[in-house]
Amino acid sequence: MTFSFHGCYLRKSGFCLEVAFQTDARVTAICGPSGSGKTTLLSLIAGLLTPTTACIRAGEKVFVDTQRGICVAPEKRQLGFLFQEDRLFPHLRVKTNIEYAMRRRSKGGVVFKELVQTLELEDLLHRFPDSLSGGQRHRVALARALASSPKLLLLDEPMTAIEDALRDRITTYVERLIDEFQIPTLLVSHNRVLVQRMATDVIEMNEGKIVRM
Amino acid sequence: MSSGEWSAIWLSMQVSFVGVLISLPFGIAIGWLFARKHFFGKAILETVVNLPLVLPPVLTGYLLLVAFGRRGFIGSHLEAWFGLRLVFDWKGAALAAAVVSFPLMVRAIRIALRSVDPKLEQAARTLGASPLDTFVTVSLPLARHGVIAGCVLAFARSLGEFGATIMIAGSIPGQTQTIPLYIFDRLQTSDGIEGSTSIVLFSVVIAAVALYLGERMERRGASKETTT
Repeated sequence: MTFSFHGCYLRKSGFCLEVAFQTDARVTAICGPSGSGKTTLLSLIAGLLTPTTACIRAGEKVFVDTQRGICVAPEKRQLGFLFQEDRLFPHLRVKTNIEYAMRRRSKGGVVFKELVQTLELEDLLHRFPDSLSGGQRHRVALARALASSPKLLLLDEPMTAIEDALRDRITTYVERLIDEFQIPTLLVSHNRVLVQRMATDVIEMNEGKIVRM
Repeated sequence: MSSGEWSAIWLSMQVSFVGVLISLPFGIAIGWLFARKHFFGKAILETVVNLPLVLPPVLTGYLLLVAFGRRGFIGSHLEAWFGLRLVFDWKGAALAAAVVSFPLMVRAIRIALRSVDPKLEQAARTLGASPLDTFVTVSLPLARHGVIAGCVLAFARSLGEFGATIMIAGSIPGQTQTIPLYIFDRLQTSDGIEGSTSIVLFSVVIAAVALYLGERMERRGASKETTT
C-alpha cells in the first residue's frame, strides 16, 4: 500500500508544518528533534487535527482532500495509534481497554489471546490502569492499538516506557504482526537502534519540514 | 407524623425525582455544550440558564405560568396535542422544580465534563468510536461523579422549592402541596409552629443528607481527576 501526505498545517502559535512525502515501505520512521512536528504529523494523519490544506491517502482510501472537501472522521480511517502517553481509559479494566477497539472493528485480524500472551498481560487483565506501572500501561496501550486491526499503524515512541527485558521481545512481536497482517506503519522514535531495526524508509524532519528522505 | 405530612413528603419526593429526570438529559447536553464548545452567544445562553439562580422564584413561576399556562404559547400546544395540563397539577410542580434546580445541575455537570481529558476522547475516536459513542463510553462515565452530584443537588434544591411551585401548581393538599407549601399552610393555623416541628426536622435531615452526598460526590470526582 502506498501512503502519501501532501499538506500544510498552521497552528495558532505560528508553527507551520509543510510536508510532502510518499512511501510504500512497510515501516517508515519519522525522526527529528523535539518540536519538529512529528507528533503533529501523526495527529493530522489520524484526523485529530484538521490540516489547512492537504491531500492524505492510504492506498485507494482518501483520508483528506481539502480541494474536494473530503475529510474522513478519525473513527473511519481504521488506523491504530499508539500515543506517547498511554491514554488508557481509567474507568475500564485492562481487558475492556483492549476489547474497546475489537468490539468496534470486528473484522478479525489480531487474535486477542496471542496479543495478551506476547505482551505478557495475562495477569493484568482484571486490573485498572491506575494500578499499573508505566511500562505495563504502555504495553496495554500497544495491545489496544494493535487490537483494532488497523490498516495503518501510527507508533509514537512505542518502546520508550517498556522495560529493557521486554523491549526486544515486543519489538519482534510488533515486527511479526506488521509483516503477518501487512500493516503499513509510521514510526516516530528517537531510538536509533529501533529505527534501524524496524524501518526501511527514514524521513527526517526539522521545524515542520522534511530535511532528508 | 400525620397522614397530611406523609402525603406532602411523598409528593415532594415524587416532584423532585421527576424534576431531576426531566432536567437530566438537558443538563447533560447543556453542560457538555458549555464545557466543550465555543460559539457565538455562549455568554447569553449561560446567563439565561443561570437566571433561575438569581430571579425571585415567584417571578420564575410567573414566567412558567405565562409559557405553560392553559393559554400559554407552550402550554396551549401541550394540552391540544398531548392532553397535558401543568397548571394546578403535580406535573407543573415537577416542571417548576426542574427549572429552578437546573443551573445547579448544569454547573456540576459542566465542571465534571470539563475535567475529562480530551486526549482520552481522541484515543477513543482512533479506536473506532463515533463522537456519540465516545461521549457515552468515555466522557460520561469519567464525569459520572459530577453528574450524580448535579442530580443530588438538584434534588435537594427541588425539595425546598416554594415560590415557582405555588405560582404554577398552587397548594392543593394531596395533589400539589409539597413540604414547603404544607409547612406554610400549617403556619396559618394557631398551633402552626409546634405542629410543623416534625416535618421541618424531617425535611432538614433529607436536605442535609442530599447536600452532603452531592458535595461528597463532587469532591470525589474532582480528586479522581487530579490523580489521573
